[in-house]
Amino acid sequence: MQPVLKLGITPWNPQAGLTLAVLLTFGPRWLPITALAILVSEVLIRHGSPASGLVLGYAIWVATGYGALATFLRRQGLDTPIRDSRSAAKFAGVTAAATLVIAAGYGVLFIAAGLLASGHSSNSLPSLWIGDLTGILTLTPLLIYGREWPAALRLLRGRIWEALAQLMALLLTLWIAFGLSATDQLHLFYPLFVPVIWIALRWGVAGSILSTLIIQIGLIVGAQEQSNAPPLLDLQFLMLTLSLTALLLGAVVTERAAAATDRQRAEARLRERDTALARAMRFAVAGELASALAHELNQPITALVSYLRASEIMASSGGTGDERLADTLKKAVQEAIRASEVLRRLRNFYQGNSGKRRPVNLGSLCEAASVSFRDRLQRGGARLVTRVDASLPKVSAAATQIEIVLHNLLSNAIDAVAHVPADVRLIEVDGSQVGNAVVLRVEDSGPGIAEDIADRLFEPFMTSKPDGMGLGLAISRSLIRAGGGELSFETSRHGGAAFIVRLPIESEQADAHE
Amino acid sequence: MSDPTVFVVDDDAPVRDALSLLISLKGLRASVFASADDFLKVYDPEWRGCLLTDLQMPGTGGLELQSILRQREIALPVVVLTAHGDVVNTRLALKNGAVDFLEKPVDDDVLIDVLQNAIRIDAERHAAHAQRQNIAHRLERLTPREREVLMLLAQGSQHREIAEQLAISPRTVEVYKARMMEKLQCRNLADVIRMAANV
Repeated sequence: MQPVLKLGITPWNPQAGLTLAVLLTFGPRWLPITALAILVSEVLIRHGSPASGLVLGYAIWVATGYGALATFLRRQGLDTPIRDSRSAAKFAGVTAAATLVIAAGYGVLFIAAGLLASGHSSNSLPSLWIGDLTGILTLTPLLIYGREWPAALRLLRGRIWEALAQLMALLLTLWIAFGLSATDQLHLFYPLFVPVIWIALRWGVAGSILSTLIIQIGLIVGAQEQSNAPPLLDLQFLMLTLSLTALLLGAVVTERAAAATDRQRAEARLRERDTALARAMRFAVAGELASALAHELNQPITALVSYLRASEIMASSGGTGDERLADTLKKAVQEAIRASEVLRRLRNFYQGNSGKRRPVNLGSLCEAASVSFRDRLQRGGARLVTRVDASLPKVSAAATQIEIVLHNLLSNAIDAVAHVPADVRLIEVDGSQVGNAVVLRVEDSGPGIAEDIADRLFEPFMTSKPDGMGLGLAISRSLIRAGGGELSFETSRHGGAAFIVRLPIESEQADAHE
Repeated sequence: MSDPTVFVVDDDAPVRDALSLLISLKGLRASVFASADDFLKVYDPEWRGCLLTDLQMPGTGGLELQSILRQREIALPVVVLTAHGDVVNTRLALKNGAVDFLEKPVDDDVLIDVLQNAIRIDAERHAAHAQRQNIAHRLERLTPREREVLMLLAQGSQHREIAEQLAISPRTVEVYKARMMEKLQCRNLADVIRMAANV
């Protein structure tokens, strides 16, 4: 296929895509060089230029046009690889408009020079425009992917058989479109969409654009081989449609894949956090159990040791008794003390592993807690209102421990509101600064705490739930107290329970306040 | 005045029984209470000795008991004995003025040591108090002139200076001084000055 007249019109103009890619990648500094390139190519292609002034004007116009387009695209952030459908559509739209203006100016230039009858231009102008547009849509996105080619090649190596199958499908459909003698005039072009869609779905925007590049080359070769060449405009529209389809579809696939990856990552992070919290929670439960056990057993051991020592004194003071008795009693005392040492070690083990204290922002902790409770809230039909300002001063605490406390309090609140009608199930978390402490109130609209257990609410093994261990509040209070704070209880204005967590403000900030 | 006694406050009956037995075998008097409130109800200011209390008790806890004692100006030394030896409570109890902090189960020698120390603190406190009262009492018997002489002597003035200041003869100063020392039951000037400084 030869250039129409002397306009240099071909089915697609890869040089337009190349020019734009250069300007996008390297910036407008390259404008003079691109103008020179256009000039040189014009002179080389058309031996004995008709008018050097015209060619110069043409080169300047086209270079300026692409320069303006490149600048605009850069300002819009479209000089980076396309990853979502919005930027793909924007890129296509802006490019279409710009190439139309450039082509129109080009036509006007030639008509003015008398080289082209204005009647003729109605046919050749669209061809020129679509040729430029297709060239840009096919080549430019691929070229600005340049930096990612090594990664793409690595990916390709992992899925080489699939890529080969897709290439075969491309070649097969190209052969159907052009090779079969029964087909001419592009009547069987539509199978070409099948491999393009397949590739787009599997590889995203990079693969789909590469596939259209292969098709464009195949089309040109095929159309030239065919004895009965299809009309130029038909071929061009087919190419444009293919390019646009590939670009947009590929962009959508890439976008979805990225979103899916993001979601997976977020889910993985959430899972990780939940696992860490569950581990810390188990640790806290064990710690509270050890502590409760130590306390409960230390009382009888104390009595035992004292009785034994008393017996020992009585045995030795009489002087009449068996000497072995005093000796045996002494050994019994040692054993009782050994038992309490075991308890002490057990308790110290858990107390010593309470986690590092750092400045903690309660606002973000509450936010994270409300996110991880979203499902349970939904299932329980409860509404959670969190009013904890992220600008509250930080407190010095082990973040995981505060999370455990929040987790316990919110769990309790959700269980509590399950006892009231669905439309009044409300849980509120409020944060405020009181003196040099931050106070968190976790309130619910549940039935509240029965008076007979309110006194012993924070004692271990106190529970109103049939399957509860009765450790949640005991643990929570231990954890908060270990951080120098206090956890207390009162009746909420919503009728249910209100738990109040007081945590001292991190000392550096407290100093700054004073 | 009663004999020094260890007042044991613990909610656990076997613990207080065993402790009181052990304490009495070691030669100290012991008296037991099942709760802080029980103790406060029957407390008598004449009581001497020390308080041995648990921290975690239903109702009024050990720390609370300490602050009530302070409010009511009960100066009985407090020894805390707890099954929960955590740092926070230890610090709070000592800050509240506990003379010692022991963990259950406690070695009886250590316990008796600590209790005897607490009882001694109480005794010293009372002795100091009694002495102060005694001195105040003796000082009250001085006439205004004798007191003036005492104060000037305590400031280090010579007899002659005192005589000039009070517009009396040095001989009269000697008389006042002798009478004052007799009333204060002091043999030398150093004792007199120490006594004046204590008041």
